[in-house]
Amino acid sequence: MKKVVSLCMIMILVSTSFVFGAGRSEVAAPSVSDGIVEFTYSILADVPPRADAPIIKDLETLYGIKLNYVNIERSQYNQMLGLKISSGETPNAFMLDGNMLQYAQFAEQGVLRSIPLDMMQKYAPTLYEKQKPYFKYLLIDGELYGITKEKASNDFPLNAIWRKDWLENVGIDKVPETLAEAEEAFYAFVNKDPNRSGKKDTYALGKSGLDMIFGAFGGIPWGPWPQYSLWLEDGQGGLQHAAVLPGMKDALALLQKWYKDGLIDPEYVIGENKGGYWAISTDFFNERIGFTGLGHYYHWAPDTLYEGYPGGQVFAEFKKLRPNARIAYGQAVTGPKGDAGTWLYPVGVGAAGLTVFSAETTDEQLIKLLQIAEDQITNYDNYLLAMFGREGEHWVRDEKSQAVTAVGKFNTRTTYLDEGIKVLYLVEDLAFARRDNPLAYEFAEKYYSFPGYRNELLVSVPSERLYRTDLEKLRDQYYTAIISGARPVSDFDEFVAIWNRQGGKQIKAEADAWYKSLAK
Amino acid sequence: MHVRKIGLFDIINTAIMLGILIIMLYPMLNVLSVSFSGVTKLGLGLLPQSFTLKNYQIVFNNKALWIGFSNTLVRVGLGVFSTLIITLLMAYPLSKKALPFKKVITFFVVFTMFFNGGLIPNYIVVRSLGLIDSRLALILPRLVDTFALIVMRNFLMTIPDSLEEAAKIDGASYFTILFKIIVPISIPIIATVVLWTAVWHWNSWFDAMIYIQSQSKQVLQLILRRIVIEGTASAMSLSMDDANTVANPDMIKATTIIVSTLPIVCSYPFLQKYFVKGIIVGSVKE
Amino acid sequence: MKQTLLHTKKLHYKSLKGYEQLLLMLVPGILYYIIFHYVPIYGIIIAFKNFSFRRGFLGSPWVGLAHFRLMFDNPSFYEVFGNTLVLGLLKLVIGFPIPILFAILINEIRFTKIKKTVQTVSYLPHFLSWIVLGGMFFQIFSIYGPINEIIRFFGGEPIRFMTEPKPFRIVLVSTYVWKSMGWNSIVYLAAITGISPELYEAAMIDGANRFQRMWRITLPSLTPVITVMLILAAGQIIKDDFDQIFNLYNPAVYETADVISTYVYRQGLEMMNYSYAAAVDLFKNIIALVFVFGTNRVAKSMNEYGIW
Repeated sequence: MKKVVSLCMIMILVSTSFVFGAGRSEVAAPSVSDGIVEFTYSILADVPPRADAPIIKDLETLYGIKLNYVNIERSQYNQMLGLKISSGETPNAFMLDGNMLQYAQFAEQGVLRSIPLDMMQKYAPTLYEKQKPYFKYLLIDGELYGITKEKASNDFPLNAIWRKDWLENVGIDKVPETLAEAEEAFYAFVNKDPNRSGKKDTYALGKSGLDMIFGAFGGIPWGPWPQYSLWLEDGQGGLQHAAVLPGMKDALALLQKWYKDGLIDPEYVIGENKGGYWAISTDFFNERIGFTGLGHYYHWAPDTLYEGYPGGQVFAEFKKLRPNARIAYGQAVTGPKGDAGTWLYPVGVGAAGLTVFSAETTDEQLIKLLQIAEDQITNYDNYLLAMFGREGEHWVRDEKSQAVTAVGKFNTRTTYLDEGIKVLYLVEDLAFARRDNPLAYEFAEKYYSFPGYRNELLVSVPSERLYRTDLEKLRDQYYTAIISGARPVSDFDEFVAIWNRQGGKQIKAEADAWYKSLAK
Repeated sequence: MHVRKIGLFDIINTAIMLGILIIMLYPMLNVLSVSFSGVTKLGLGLLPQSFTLKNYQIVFNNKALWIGFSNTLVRVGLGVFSTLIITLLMAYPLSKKALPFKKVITFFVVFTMFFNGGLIPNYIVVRSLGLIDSRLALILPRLVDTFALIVMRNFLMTIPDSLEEAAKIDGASYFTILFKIIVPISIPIIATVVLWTAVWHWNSWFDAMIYIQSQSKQVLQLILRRIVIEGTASAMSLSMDDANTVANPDMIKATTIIVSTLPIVCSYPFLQKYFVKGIIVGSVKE
Repeated sequence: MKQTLLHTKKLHYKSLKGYEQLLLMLVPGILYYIIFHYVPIYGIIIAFKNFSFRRGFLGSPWVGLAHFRLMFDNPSFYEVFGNTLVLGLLKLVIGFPIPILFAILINEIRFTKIKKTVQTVSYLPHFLSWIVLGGMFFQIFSIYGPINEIIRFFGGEPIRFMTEPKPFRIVLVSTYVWKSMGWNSIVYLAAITGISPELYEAAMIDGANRFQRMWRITLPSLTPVITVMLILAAGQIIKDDFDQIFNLYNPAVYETADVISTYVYRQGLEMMNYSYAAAVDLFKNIIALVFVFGTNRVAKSMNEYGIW
């Protein structure tokens, strides 16, 4: 008996000492040997490149580096990253997914090292110039802790897709451009049997359509994803959250009327996508509504773009399902005061990745990494190598579409990542990205040059952490209640008062202070 | 054999069961039909939309899939075996009323169901033991499932002491009693724990994600998750090839569900016979 | 009496040696618990600290009960806490007896083929994740879905299951039952197989009918299992509610469906409040433990099959 107990005590002592004695494993690799700079690296990827991945080898030879990839599973990225950092295994260079609060926290807690601006100017001058507009978001107490990637697809506002055949069936030839025209079309979608079924079985719009209507009144309180909010200039040098802009009251009044008249799908709150690929508007596909704003421009690219092209992912699915339907590309409709816009993501900071460097990264490692980044935005061929692989073997430039096209199996993510493609890229730059797919941009520039609302508050302010979840819950409750008619439109004032009282005012004060400091 | 008349009760019962059969089976059939669909399937019907085998091709062509499959089988085998032994070794003593420290040990064990240190400390412990990238990292941390342990203990509590007395008088050790007398009687609960353990190991992916680095040791579920996630990345390129082969993730997801559930459904009938009546407990002297 | 006492003493003497054997059996398991559960348990202290990545668990500064105070000061918290309890209780009261009933009824089926098939099929829902089921149930419970079709057929008004707070509870409880019924019934079926057929035969000879046999033999024989499953379920239902609710809820039903775990998740999306989340988790687990204690107490007053 006693033996057993003492045995247990020993085990406890031994295990505990293991755990605490083991401590943090240091990132032990020497950073430079024989002029080759070695470092650990990770990006947001689904699979790691295999050992001896050919493109990694090419890049190692090209830049004189040794890249040790650290796999951080993408689907649980924040949790896994936290795990790695807490157990002392932070990679020298890694990616953050654009969460500014996380960026600020990591910087403040000493997880990241700063990037000396003079170092960047010396070793990566072009990068410096291109990143300069983002410094106002990225500098924390005057120090820079990361460089932003740019997402080319964010340069265009979100969709405004109409059922063209429905418009024609109800006698409307022109795709609506103003709010009044849209209203006429929406009423017709409900009352004039646009799908020729003989029954009144259609609605006009769902959640994504509401965003466009709000946009016609000066802002978008909801938006496509809950983690993004919209702060716009308030005309007094500061910023304001879209949900409490005065124009929203008028928008809500209109939407309440529309809801009562059956224009808005009563289950709009759930969202238009009911499972499956996120950009597919199930309700639009089901012909329950005649307008959708879900997805980006490339989802709905038409099959007429070039010969043999089936269309963007969503377009192609829609066509297969409803071969006789036709769509039209609309624009954000203009409201009574001339406002218009659908959601527009920031191109860089706020909706694109950030490359950051761990506190253990040495100057030699950082310089080498900065040089690589510089090369990737100045040398188009090296850019292509890192992003797409070897010409001929992994990609070719397609004659018809003028796009860089993957060869065979290399168009699947897991295959190309495994090969080492799209692994080492510290920076993504608009200029080169556009050259990868000229037709895509032509299409976008033609149909998507209408206004969009872009978030201006691209840093995190301290009070957000405390109040944001509750404020958003408040917004959801009031907005849905007013639209459905459960509350009168006048309750909007009550909503704004509670919003301000429960932290909205504090957040605004901090946002204003930050925004005004930029103007200096 | 008793020949009872088929009464009203039987008819109603069977009707209810058939109803249950339909509502349980239906969603799975829906998922099955999505896995054979070539286009986004809307609605709740059972016919595939534009029948195709493409989704299965994509999934089965993935070489990692087969590696994952074999790794998971190994994991299930080792896991079930080791868990069963240790759980029995714990449940049996704890089922004895007179065991000293019984309450303390039971509390000690159940406490862990509610309080645990979280991801990072657990990771550090596994790392300190040198188990990173080892198969044991997938087995040792869940050697005993407290829930199953307590349930098994309660089962064992119902076995009358009289069964063991004869053996004890003959001088048999508790080990012998456990494995020669108790186990054969406890087949149903053993089968249940085997099932629970096997399914848990079969479905696990999170521990593999944090502890396994070599792709050659990766488990099935993780591979399947990756196959699905692959499809959720937005294809920005307008190239024709991309649009054709980047399959709709909804269909791929459905396919991976079928692929991962089918083996269990197919092997369950082998376990089912242990749930069949007919194991005689023996005469009970009250 | 005397003889039994002597007899007992003799056994006792032998058993003293046996006790060591039994305790020895426990050693590997206890080692396991120590190494993999108790050694890492120090992680809980993070609920009382302000976690800093750099300083780690041991170096992060203490804040005592600050996170808990924050939690209780937040007016939203009470609504969310209330929902957690209400939904937990509903699931327990409605969802717990059903697998038992199902096991008993299925046991009575005479056609083995049907019996086996229904049993196998009944646990299929367990393998479908809520991510997949979410989309399906949106359509099923929609105002245009099959459930409302049936309601309309019988002349009723369509119910807005998915967008109204109170009806949404029906969705949560019914889908929970649907998903767990088959899987949870397995353990009861296992228990039923252990019942000696002689008991049934004796009862039939005594003239007991179907229902009497179910009520007086099957059900009581299940008491040990039911007791332990009930006690454990009381804890589990509060701890593991996230997946289902997260994949089914939407802002229109937050009033009844937003629970502790979903609320904290939203806070985590942007807030990265690692310590706060740990504090809330700890709180939730304590509540679950309280439930388990309570249920255990009740069980102990009725039979001897409580947990401890």
